[in-house]
Amino acid sequence: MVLAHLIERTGDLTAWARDGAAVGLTLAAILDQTPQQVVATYYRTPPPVPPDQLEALIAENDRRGKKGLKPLCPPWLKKLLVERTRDARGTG
Amino acid sequence: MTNADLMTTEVPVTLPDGTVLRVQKLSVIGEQKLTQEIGRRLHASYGPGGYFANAKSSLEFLAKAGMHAAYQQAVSELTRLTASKTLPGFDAIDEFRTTPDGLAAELYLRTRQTHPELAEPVIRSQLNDLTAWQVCTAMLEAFAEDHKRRSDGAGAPD
Repeated sequence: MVLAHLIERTGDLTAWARDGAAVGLTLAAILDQTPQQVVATYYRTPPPVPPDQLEALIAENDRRGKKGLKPLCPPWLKKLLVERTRDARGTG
Repeated sequence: MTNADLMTTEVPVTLPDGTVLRVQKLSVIGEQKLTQEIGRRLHASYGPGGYFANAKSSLEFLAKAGMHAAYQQAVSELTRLTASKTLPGFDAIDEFRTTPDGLAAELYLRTRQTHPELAEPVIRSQLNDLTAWQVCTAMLEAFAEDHKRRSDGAGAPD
């Protein structure tokens, strides 16, 4: 919605398409999101997991395992698991 | 549908967070390739030193104990394994499959058709020393149950 509004305001779709990265960065600043999140929202694709975030979780969960504790599953990971384990064939 | 598809079966395997993966038991060739890939990953996990790095503590023990003949024999065997690019043995691979890294690789490879967007590190994040063994056991039991169900259905003896 915000993106559509911005395009409307700029009024030059060709210029926008040429300079999509700049718009993405601007939107990221306006929405207080990362450019990746903006792109993910616009293209409706799940955002990639920041590797350092995932690596930190793996390290933390390995530490928990040594103490006999189950791994943590923060909401962002749960969301990712739900999104990416949907059966692509629609049978599950 | 390919012959490999006909030979493939699926079983549900639940991750610790409750996510259910549709895990495939592959065709005979698929299973062979999967074992090879896991063996390759196990070898890679030894680090740049390969078999020598993996046997470091044993080599140090032999050296400190003055068992020079055994040391020479061990080095010779490790050199042969390295030069011939031999994969780790079946027992070592089987053990690796119960570790978080090994099981994450196996689950990843077994879900390429059912969950193509699922990344290996995401699976790995839900496996640790406690849960990898549990999930691995659950997967093997599910495969065994599936095999038994198919055998019963076909009227074949167990």
